[in-house]
Amino acid sequence: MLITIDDVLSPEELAQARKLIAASRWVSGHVTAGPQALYSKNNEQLPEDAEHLPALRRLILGALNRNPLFFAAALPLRVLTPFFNRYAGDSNHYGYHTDNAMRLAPEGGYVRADVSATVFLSDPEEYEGGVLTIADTFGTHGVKLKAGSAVVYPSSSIHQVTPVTAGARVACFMFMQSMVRDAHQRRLLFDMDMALLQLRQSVGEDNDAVVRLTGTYHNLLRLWADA
Amino acid sequence: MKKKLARKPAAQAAAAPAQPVRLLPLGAALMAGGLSLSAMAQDTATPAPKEKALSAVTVNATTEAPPEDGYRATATRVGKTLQDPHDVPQAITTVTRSLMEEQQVGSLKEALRNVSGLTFNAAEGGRSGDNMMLRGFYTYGDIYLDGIRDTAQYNRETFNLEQVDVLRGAAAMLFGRGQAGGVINQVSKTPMLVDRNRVTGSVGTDDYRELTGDFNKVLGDTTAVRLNVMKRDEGSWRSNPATGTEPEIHREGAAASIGFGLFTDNELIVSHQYLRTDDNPDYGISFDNATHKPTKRFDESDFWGIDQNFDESETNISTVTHTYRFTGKTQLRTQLRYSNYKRAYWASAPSNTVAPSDRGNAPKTRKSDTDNLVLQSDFSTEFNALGMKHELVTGIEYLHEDSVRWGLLNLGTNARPYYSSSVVNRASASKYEGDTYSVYAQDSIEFVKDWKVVLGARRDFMDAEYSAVRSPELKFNENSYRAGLSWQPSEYAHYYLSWSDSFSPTADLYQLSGGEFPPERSDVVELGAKFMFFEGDLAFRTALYRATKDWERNNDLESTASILTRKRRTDGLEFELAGRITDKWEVFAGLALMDSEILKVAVNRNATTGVVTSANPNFKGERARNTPTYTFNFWSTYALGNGWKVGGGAEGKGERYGYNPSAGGTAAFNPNKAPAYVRWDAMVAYEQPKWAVRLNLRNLFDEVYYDAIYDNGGFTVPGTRRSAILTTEFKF
Repeated sequence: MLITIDDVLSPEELAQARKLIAASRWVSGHVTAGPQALYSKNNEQLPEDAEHLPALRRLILGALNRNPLFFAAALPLRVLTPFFNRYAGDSNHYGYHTDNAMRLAPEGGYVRADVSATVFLSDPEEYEGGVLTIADTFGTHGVKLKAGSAVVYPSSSIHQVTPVTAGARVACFMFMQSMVRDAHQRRLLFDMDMALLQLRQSVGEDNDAVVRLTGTYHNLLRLWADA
Repeated sequence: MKKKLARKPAAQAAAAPAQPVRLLPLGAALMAGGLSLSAMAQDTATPAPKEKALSAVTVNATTEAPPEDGYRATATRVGKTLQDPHDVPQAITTVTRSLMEEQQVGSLKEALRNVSGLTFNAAEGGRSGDNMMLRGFYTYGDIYLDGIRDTAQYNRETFNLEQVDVLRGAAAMLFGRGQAGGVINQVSKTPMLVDRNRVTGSVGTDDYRELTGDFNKVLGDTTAVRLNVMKRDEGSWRSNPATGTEPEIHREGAAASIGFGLFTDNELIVSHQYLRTDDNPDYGISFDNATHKPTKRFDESDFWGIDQNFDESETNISTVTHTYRFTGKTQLRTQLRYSNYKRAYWASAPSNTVAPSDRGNAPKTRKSDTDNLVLQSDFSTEFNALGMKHELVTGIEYLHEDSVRWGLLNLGTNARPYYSSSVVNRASASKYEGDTYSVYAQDSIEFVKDWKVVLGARRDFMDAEYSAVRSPELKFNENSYRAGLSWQPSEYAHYYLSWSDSFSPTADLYQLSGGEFPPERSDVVELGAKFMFFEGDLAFRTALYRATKDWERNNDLESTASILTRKRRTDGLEFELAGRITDKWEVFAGLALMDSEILKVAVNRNATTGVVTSANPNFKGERARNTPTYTFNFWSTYALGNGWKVGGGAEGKGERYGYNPSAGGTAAFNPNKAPAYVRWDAMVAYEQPKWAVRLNLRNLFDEVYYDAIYDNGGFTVPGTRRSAILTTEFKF
């Protein structure tokens, strides 16, 4: 399941993020790569001690925190702190890989990566190439969104960022543990949620069938969620 | 969310507790807990630093800017070829850049306050955005940018405009399908062969802030590039008493153009214009059903909108213009344009019974996405035949329009709605796709000395499809004509009699003929005179006209009524003055008297049942909507010497009606009425060759006035209260 969400960041937030990033120093993306990824990962990343990283993380999480679509799609339980990367010049691609399943959380313990999200911070016109290509059970999708928009997809999918041949692609990416670990179940819940939204709109919240279907949604969530 | 302007600290404090709306998708109900890193997440982004004051500008050029035209335009293309407006046998008002700059005008709407006989509609539904009436007829299909249709619904800005030409009268022969009032043509700035840069920064009351830049750089003998940028934020004197939320305007735009072979026989200009708007829309206040006047139950400063409301648009317009000059007066001018207009809004409508709350009221939502592709090519030449002088212009045009619009999906509850610009109600999609092919020719013949006759004809082939509840195909082949007789006994006087017509099936404009009725038909006959005084420094014009329209339509396909009036007419008299009385004294003024009347009331056929109904017979003989019996405007400045300049003016409109003329029943005619008003403005400036400071005062006497009326009558939008804007300008 792949869901794109437009304008996660407001224009002001986007401008602010870009300003902070412009004032930041990049290091090789190898710092967060697992042993296998070392072979395919060739990009740059903001180091953990980057001066503006806390502000950038607050900004991104603040935006996601108020986005209902993001919640409905990801059903996030724990979100790992976002990272920022840049593809440009010689460090311009990240070959096909699957994200590591378990990650150490800064506050201790492990977080299982169920869902990945990328928030685009460069506009598509600012670079050539750099397509996020996601191969999931429904086929291969190329994603290149306008700055401030986000894509949410299963961490279990195999994905890559194709080489950036001109310009620079800056993005924020993050992993989260979902209440519903199974991608198919998450998708069913999301589809049901969206269909229910339309129903609630057209026939009203208090319609008997809507009430019972809403109950079904919650009961499925009860069945599948491990929060 | 959006950066919110805080007019006063109290309003800000009241607005602060606003939480993200909770009742959303079911999954989003889990948002209440926040993300697991909630401590971090809830401490939202660090506030954006305040915009820096303009840094000092380095003066790096010694060339003086060329003199401005002032208020009298000396060139227009609104008659199809580049002409002096004095020579066009039809009424034209041109709002020049000098006038717009002196008035610190930002939006097209504000610029058009200088045009007599023009009134503003408050917007709703698919037609929000710029929405003007000209001589009492709507113009939303008649807004052009460089002679090319710019009919998507959005709020236009003037930062990249050289001037705005308003050509009155049916103009289908020149522009293609349209209505009786005329066309509003915006003229873009283009590269010049002189280095010239201008930067302005403005601050004002109600959190007004604007920065603009206009940079022109010569790159070679005939090559130059020009860049215009703008960013403006505005708050309002109105606010929601429950939350402190104010209507807001946040606009930014950039336009770049590059010209090759400028002023040579082979000229190419490539341009792109980008505009982003991010407003909190103001739907004004309600009429009171008992008094038919703007409600007194609530204060004029009450705003029904909430913080979450939005009106966002993004417009991208790319144009290539090629001009090839053969010899003398023979040239071929070709324009290719691709434009995309995206817009989404959620507005709260005012109420006469429900006080503004923290939940918004009667949500109005819309999202639309429009793509237009235009190719037009004009060939113009001059020759002598049969002992007479001919000026011939012929052209072809292809227009492809592709648009879709939706309502937004309520992500909240009925009691507390919530809409996102990215979630549409897919069930509500309406699509329009159309191809129009046009061919036209016009000859202007000087048959005896000083006497000219203009004859023009055009044929439009329109093949379109509109898909909503019903999906008719629309095929129209329509002719339009233009004829004029001119007598120019001297360079400074022009008397003319003209006639022109137009048609409009108007399927692209969120409305449709429905197949059961013919397209709208308009024709205008006009007797006019244009004079130039003081060797052309001051232009005066007057026109007496009769504009008639058949099958006036308005509603979209989902409605059962599509015809507003079967026949309607405006008779009018206009006077305008533009230019310089002395070297120091400039003036721009207009007066329009309008007598409008519904001649035949609407006849409509119910889309589903086929039942034919007539509108209320009492509408017959009554005055048309939003067509006051008079409008006037004047603006004048006087240079006192030593760089000081003072100026001021007024704009006024008579009482305007708002009602639905296609409504049935037999009730007595008793429309909602927006009262007459006069708004006074003033200006004082200190100007030096390289810099200037200007103070604009708007609505000097702090009048509460209503300048926009929803034409069906529900509500009216008050204009600005007293406000001040201080602008500094640097030229280098």
